[in-house]
Amino acid sequence: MELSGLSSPVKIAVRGLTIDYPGAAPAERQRVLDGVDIDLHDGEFLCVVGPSGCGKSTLISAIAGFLTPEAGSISLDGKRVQGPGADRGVVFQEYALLPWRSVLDNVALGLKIRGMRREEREAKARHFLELVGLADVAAKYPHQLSGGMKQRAAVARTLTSEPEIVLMDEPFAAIDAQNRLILQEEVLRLWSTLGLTILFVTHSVDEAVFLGDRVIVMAPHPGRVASVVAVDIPRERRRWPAIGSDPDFIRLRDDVLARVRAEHGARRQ
Amino acid sequence: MTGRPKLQSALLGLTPFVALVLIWQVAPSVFSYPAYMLPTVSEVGRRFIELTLNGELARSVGASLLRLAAAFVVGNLIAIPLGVLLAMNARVSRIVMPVAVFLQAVAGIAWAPLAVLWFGLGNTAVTFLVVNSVFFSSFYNAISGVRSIPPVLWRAVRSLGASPWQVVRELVLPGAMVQLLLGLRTSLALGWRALVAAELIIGTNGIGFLMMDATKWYGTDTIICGIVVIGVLWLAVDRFVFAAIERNTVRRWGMVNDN
Ligand SMILES: Nc1ncnc2c1ncn2[C@@H]1O[C@H](COP(=O)(O)OP(=O)(O)OP(=O)(O)O)[C@@H](O)[C@H]1O
Ligand SMILES: [Mg+2]
Repeated sequence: MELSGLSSPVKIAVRGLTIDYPGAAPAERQRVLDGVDIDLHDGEFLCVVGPSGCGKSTLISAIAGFLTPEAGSISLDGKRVQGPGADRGVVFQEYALLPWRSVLDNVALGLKIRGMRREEREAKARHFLELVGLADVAAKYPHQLSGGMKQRAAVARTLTSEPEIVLMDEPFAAIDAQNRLILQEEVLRLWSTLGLTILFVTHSVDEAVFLGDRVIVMAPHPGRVASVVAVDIPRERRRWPAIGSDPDFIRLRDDVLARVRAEHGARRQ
Repeated sequence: MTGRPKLQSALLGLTPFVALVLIWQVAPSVFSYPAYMLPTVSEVGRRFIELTLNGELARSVGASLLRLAAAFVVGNLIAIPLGVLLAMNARVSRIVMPVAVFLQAVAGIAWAPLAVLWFGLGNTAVTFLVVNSVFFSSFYNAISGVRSIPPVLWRAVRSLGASPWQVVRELVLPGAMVQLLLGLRTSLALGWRALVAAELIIGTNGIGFLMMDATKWYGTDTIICGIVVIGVLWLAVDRFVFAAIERNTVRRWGMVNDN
């Protein structure tokens, strides 16, 4: 498949990735991903959409190194991915903050694990908390935060470790519509100021087209890449709410939506 | 939290005890029974002062507590690491679990006959029984505590680059803390009970032995003193030690709900 004309080098190369989940009985073994090919370029914002159950989370888990492929490979800078590692940061849909650590300690956790001194890691964690607008709740515990604040903290924790790749699995799914738009703009701002490389999974076609350089549409049963759509809307036009009435945005959104609809309930012959 | 509701709830918790003492006080004028079966409140009080002054109570309680502390430490030092290891490693689990379930059925006082034959009457045999009781409660709570940690937290910590030891320190121990504390608490309570029971039947000193020994001369007053001391000691540990630990850990982290 022709993967648009991105010029920067490939960071993550997914080749023929095939993943099975074992069922209760051997006969119930299920093929969840079947021969998935994806290139994630350096500095790219790549979005993945597709019907529920098509294997989007499985794709993220595999790249993060939590799953062993049946066939195919995943490599980062040409080196094969063997397990989880700090070079690939993950933002989980369920926030996954540690309840027993303050927000500051949660955000500094990756640096602590790396062995960085306390003052140094806390200074850095505070910097990222400021970037996501959480400077004044640094001393609180996660259960004292709203859903949106937890998600910002989770984003800050991942970014503080400065991973080469940021994997985000429906990070804003549980956030109300208004805050969701704000977080989308913020993640774009972080992406461009920090020069991040992001793989972003979402249910929302609007979100994918708003955020992505490209949008991958996946098909279910078994999960595979159905098509790739390049989003050629200049970055300076990506602002809510103005983009909602942008003709390019509407055209691309409808295009992607139609592709997702076509895959809904589709089965490979 | 203010002082007033705290005092109020303490007083509320005291009422059943007061009621019990009142009933005990009037019992002799309502029912008729031989005096040695249930001595009066003041007789028990007098006996308590006697036992305190002659040092017998302190000696017995001291011997029991020392034994309990030793068994508690040893039992938990085996139970918690083993439980955590087992919960983190499927192979260890497959090896250890059947034995553990088998042994659980005969945990505690059922070992008394063997303990006596192996170690003779006295300290070692009693401590062995108590370690056994302490072990299982902490062991099973450690396992279920580690298993109750949400999978996504494991993934989060591992994807931040944590080594297995860092996973234990940053995730497993605090994540299982609610259950670990429950295990410590239950294991101490069960250990305390096993201790008294073991001292009653195979002990040569300690609070349980003091009570059993008193049956020789119908010392119901001594026996009741023993019961009160056992209960009060436990109440104090439960209220002051464990409640304080909980308040400063899992409660602060929002991991348990107040009821
Ligand atoms: N741990 C697991 N064991 C067995 N099957 C699983 C497991 N996790 C997911 N599956 C199956 O794999 C398929 C893909 O799941 P996955 O969570 O990757 O989908 P998804 O695209 O992320 O869905 P959603 O949009 O609802 O989050 C589903 O059919 C699901 O039932
Ligand atoms: Mg998913």
